[in-house]
Amino acid sequence: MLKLINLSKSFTEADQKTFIFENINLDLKTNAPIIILGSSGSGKTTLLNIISGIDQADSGEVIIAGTTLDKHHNQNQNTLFRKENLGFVFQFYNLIPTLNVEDNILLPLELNHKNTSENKNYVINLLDRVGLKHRLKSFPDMLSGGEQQRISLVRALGHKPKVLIADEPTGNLDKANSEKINKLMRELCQLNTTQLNTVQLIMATHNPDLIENGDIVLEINNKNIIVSNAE
Amino acid sequence: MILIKSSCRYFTKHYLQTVLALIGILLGVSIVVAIDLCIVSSQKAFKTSLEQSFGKTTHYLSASGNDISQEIYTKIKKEKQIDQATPVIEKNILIKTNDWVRIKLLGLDPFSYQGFKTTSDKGLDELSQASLKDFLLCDNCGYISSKTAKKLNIQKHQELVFQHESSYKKIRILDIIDDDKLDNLILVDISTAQKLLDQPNTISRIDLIIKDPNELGELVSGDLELVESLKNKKSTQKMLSSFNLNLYSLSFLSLIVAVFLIYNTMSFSIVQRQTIFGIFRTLGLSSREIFGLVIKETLILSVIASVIGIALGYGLAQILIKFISQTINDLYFVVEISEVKLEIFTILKGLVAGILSALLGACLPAYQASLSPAIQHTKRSSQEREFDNYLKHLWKISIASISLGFIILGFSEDYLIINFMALALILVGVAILVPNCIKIISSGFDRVLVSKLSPINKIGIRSIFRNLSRTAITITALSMALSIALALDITVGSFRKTVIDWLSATLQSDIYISAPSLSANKTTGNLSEELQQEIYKNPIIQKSSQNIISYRNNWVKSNLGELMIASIDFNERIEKSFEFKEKSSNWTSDFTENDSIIISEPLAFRFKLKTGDSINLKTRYGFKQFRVAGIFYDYGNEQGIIMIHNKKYKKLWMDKKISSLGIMLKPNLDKDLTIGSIKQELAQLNTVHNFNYRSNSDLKQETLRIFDRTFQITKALKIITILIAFISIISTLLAMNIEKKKEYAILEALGTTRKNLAQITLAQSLSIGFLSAIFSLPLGLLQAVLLINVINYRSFGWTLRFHQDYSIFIQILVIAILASLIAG
Repeated sequence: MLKLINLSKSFTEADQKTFIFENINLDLKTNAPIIILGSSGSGKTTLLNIISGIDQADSGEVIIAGTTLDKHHNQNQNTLFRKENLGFVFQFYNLIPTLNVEDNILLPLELNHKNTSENKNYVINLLDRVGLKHRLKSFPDMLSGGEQQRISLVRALGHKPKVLIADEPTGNLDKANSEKINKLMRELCQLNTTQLNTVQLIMATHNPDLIENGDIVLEINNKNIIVSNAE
Repeated sequence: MILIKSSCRYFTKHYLQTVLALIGILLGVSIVVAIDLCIVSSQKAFKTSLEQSFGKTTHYLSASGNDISQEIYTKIKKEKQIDQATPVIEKNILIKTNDWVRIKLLGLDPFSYQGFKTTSDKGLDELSQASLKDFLLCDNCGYISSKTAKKLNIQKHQELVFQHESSYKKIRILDIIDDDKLDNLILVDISTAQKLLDQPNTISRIDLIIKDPNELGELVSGDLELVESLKNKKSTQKMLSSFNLNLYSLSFLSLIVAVFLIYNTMSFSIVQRQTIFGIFRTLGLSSREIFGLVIKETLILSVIASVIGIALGYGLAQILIKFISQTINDLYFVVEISEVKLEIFTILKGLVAGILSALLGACLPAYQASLSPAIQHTKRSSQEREFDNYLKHLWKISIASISLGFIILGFSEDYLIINFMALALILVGVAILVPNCIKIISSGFDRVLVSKLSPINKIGIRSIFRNLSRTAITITALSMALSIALALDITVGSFRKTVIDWLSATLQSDIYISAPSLSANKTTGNLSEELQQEIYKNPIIQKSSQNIISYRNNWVKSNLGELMIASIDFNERIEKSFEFKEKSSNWTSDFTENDSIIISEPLAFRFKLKTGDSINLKTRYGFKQFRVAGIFYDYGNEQGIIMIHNKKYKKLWMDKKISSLGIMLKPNLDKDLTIGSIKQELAQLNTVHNFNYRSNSDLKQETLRIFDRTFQITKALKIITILIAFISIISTLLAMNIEKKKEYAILEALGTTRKNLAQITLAQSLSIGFLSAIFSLPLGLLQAVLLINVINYRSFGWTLRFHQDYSIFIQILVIAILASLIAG
């Protein structure tokens, strides 16, 4: 479920203000995966950053996971919101190089003060599910790109967030690995959904191959947003 | 915990960088701890010495440093019926071992002393029970503590040779007692002491336990005075306070340089981990938590470094204590520091100094880290833009800091510690101008010099200006360290030159003869009358001398406390030897004929006296007012001295003793030859009477030797400060090279050889060294001016003439270039 109300974002270059999108509105009452599609520079990462509270819009509101993110919501509140409700997967994996796999995946639990043995087991099971339990003590620089992305997927879902934000999660992977990650991402979201939460996937990508039936596709076009259902 | 794990892994992965930061803090801490240990140990030794002397004593009766008649004691006991009184003889003697060792001869009366014993006087208890008979009856026998026995390498029943004033004597060690309170003294019965010191009917003082000072009534008259024992302790300790404060301040200067090193290391570690912090922020870590994380890292590092620093400081103290105790002996009082003990308070001080300085250095980097945006990769260029913004504010902070420093200096004349704080404010204020100055000169430097260099050298030097956020701090740290070295060199050099000029003007006699002294700058002993006669009658001396000037030094009571007075024979040459800060127009006639005295500059400073003011001095006839006819420059001692005409002194104090003699040779003599033959005569006399004799040049040399010895500790601290700055350069170059790994890889791919890459690093380090040396010059000169004219004057009251030896500037440049070359 995602609602955007009169959302605008611009950037200024050489005193020239350029809108990426202006007064866009959206009201999605479904938990189906949302795919933000577009080529490089179209503004999909900016939209994703605003939706997740990393960046702030010039004006307007975002309602996500039952929380309103607007100008009155300060950076610290956004941080707190992200910590509890969102999981992130990035193009460049962004695992902490100074932590091994185990510490990387347990980090969100610790930040949320949820590092009970039950939760830890849950995370280790997720790791098992992505086929990397044997790499528990390895450091990120010893893993392949596909492995790193699978670890980052486990890290993103370990604390049972309401939304999984994925920014070009396959942008750095080959075709086979891309498909594998896309499949796992959806599977794990589904797994979470059936067990405890409703995890909604919001993914920004330039790759239309990642779209599956039932996904909601958003495209930024001429400062506006176009919504379509994938069939 | 996971966050701390991540930090630990970062710091262990970049171990070299971490080790350098640790060394920076631990060196700073070790100096602070070492200096503190030395000061605490010297104070403790002084306290023990006072306890040995006074015990439970509330007051003592003495005669301003002179001995008093034994009859007074009998009167106190019999006429005044005061039970709690005991006679004491206390004299400093020199013991002949491999070298001459200063020690105290303490003569007590074991019977009357009973009531004065403190609970810790175990040695004296043993004495009273086991061997009192021996103690009383054995001829020339005494006791020493086991530690002293070890120090003097002497066994029970062995004999020791000691020297007191002009004579040598022997003493036998009756027993060795295990009591720390007897350290550095020989305990003898009072009659033994009288015999050994040739003073059959006199004692040094009478210790008393009395409630009312009036109990003694009319006995306290003439030159006798009743002194509160605690007051003595306080006044002597006060004497040392400026000296101690100056030492502490020097040690903290090294710590300031270490702060820059910490800043460098932490800010580098933060730039390197910007991405990690970005991920942390994305995952939900608040800016406050990031700030806390960096602070925790700093705390862990600083605790490790401080603990090692404390251990190192303890070792360093064992070396520095020799310099410090020598200086205290030379300048203040005789104290023998037997050991340096690590006290819990010193450990705490070291920990606090290390942790606080590290936190101070890490504050800004921690704040920068807390501002890390979520997941956005911060580019090095944006880091530089941010630093550029800081620089704009740095101007304001710098000017505010300098202004505040000068304002405080203007209003805090009486509080030395506040003066030091003001100096630190000015110093830091000027130092933080350096980054802005580098920025200003960078474009000119580039146009004039860099643009003409080869591309490889261009890369090296331009990287200094393009990475100001990193290099500016290093250049500032190195400039600070070099400026401290420069300022100390100029200050000590100015002081030395002033003393040399002063000695040349003051020492008018060609040969000086003085009583042996335990303290290098105070001759209060006496030359025996026999010796005086023999000197005056010696045909060679008679034939070659134009004048023999006599001097007498003594302590006198005054309305300002106990002061040192020196009486002097006055003639035209002596008159010319004084250089005055201020004087009355007819000071010569006032000094010779009227009740006028002249006083030294430190004394005038201590009591805020001016020409025309008066001092009441206690003479044999009671208190008498003397007018100050002039204030002369004197660098002999920081407590100050009163000069009085010999004629007046002898009359008013009825003291005919002589402390030293100065022989002025007739003109037209072959000075070297005459001095040589007089020295031969004096050497013969010295086999019978013990005294010191030195030619004018010997005395100058000896004074300068003591002077140089005093400032040896300054040299040691200077070297350590430069060492910390040197580590700072290595740390920065390392940081820059790690950051530029990718850039270097591209250069290598393009065909740049390893030699070229080394050339880049060398160009970087040489630029750092050169710029630091340039900035250190004005910074050092400013510090030197403030140290000479403000801190030194307000600490000791000495006017020093600013003297700069231009070779110091070249030295600084060479040190900077060498340090940067080695680091590069």
